[in-house]
Amino acid sequence: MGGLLALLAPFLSRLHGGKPENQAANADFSPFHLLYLLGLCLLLLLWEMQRQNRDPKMLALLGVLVAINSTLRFMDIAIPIPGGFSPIFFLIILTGYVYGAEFGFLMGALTLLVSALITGGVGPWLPGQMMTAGWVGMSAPLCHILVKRMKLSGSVVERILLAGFSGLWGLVFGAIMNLWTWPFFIAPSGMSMDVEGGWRSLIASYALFYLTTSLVWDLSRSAGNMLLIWMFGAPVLRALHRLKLRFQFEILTSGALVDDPIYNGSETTGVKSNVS
Amino acid sequence: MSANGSSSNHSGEINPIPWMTWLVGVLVMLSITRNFLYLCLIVLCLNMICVILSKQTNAMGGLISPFRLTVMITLMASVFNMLTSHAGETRLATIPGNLPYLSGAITLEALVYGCTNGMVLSGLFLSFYIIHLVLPTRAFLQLVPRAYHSLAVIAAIAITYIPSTMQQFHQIREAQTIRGHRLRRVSDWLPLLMPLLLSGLERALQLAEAMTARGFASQEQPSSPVVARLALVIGLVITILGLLPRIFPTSMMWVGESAFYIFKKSNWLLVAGGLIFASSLWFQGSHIRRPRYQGYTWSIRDWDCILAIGLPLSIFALHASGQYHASLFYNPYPLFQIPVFDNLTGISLLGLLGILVNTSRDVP
Repeated sequence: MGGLLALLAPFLSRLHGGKPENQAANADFSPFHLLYLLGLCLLLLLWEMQRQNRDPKMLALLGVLVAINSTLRFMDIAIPIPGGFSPIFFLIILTGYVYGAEFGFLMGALTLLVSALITGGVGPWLPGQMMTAGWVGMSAPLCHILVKRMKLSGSVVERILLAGFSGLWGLVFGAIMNLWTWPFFIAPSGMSMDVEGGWRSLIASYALFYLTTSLVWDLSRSAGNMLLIWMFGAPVLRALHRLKLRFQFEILTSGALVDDPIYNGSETTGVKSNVS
Repeated sequence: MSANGSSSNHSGEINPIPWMTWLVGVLVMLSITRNFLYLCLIVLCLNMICVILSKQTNAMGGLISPFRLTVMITLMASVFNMLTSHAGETRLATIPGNLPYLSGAITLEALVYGCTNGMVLSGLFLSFYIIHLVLPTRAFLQLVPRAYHSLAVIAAIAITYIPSTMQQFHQIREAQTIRGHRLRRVSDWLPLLMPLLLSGLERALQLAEAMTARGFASQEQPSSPVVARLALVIGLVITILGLLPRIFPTSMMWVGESAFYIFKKSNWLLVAGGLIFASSLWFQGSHIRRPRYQGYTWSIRDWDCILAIGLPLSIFALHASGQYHASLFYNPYPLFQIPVFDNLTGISLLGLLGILVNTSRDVP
């Protein structure tokens, strides 16, 4: 919510008392404020998510998956692909779908962070990218709820649903990422913020800006996401599900009183599988 | 433009804190001013630093040089703005016809505004590029607060595994090529992607077992005190409160005189919120031990970074509320005028080059 407020704040600022003659250069709400608020929200969210994921198994899995995804992004940079296509969303969505919202958020945010560190992509855009990529992973379990309720697991509909979801995020990701520049860098024109026309006019001018500057770029990302999920989604999902089962072991530390009947309540050290 | 690991062969002992302070200062200055004369000076200084540092660190040539990047971004932003924004009174030409959003007057003001945007964006790119040139990746990890130790572990694992993952990708590709595999269609990537993913997951399993066997996270982590956790939320709420008068300036007038008071004090609320947030993080990370393979020391040279940014930043801060306020918050609309240029501010901006003294130390 805080992240959304940060991204929408420039709009609200202009709508509630922003003066047209000042809005271009002397706005009260600057990119610096946006970055500050977004940064704090991201830090809070990351702290809360990591607090709930201290299991070494999850840390190792996340680390290795982030490494694989960052390698994919590195290849994407090394081999220029037209438009905004990036293979990173494929794994972010699928891991979020299989391992849950927290894992998905961390996967999205950390992939962007680590890949930015190795490719020199650190910049003021990074907190926004991390937050949005985190949202991509965090929202993926929504598909899982639908699939589970309709008992579609393993079917073609599951793949179609995931492909559609990834395609939608391909467009939404670009639309969200524009928000940190559009209010501040677009000079008065049909595409700039029209504060006098209210919300409708504001949305219309943003839609125009998006259509003119970003749609083609984002369509490439969207199509790429859908293609990757459609082509490779099923085997990757199977692999992730299989590993999820293998990762459900618990290390029982020495001196721990085991309630499990197999240990007869004795103090022991060992490995206990949670796989049923 | 890419550093491509150039940072790792340089600056093993460079303290990241002064550099990050310098970066934050440059970002603040780029955010504050819209005076293209000052921006020109800032971008010029950043370009010079980039060129000198690239030579010092033997940075591998990227796709495009920093200077070309600056010219390209500035040109693109100027042309885009000139064609799409028809505001302003100094008409240079007119695009005839009824082309949507293109037809209309091309104005000098739009050109200047676009050029200013381009310079701000180039400044942002260049300042981060400089940091990437100077600081090794491990220095970034050292900057992660202790409260985020789990995330730092994940990032460290990821950074460590990237080279081996890439090596593995090449091995898989070679192995598949020997078997007659060719990359013709998108589906041909599957025999490369799946072994990469599966071997990565296997390694994750082995790593998890190894970490657990070596006692990682074997001790029960003390849960964070409720007060400290609450302080994080309070810090964020205070920050949002500090921003509310900026987000809803007129809507807050219903509280009358006090709205003005809140507005005036909002900067302090922002600082207070940030401080509470940072203190809570510090407190929660204080019990975590951080082993350091290579420590950083604070030397006299590190003060150069602080001075290099402190001087122009102080003058900017003084001018922001003083008589040269207009020179910082310059706006070319509605009629273009040459912005006010303060000599002292201009000279102080050259101080940005002072950080180069910090990089002249020997490579360890």
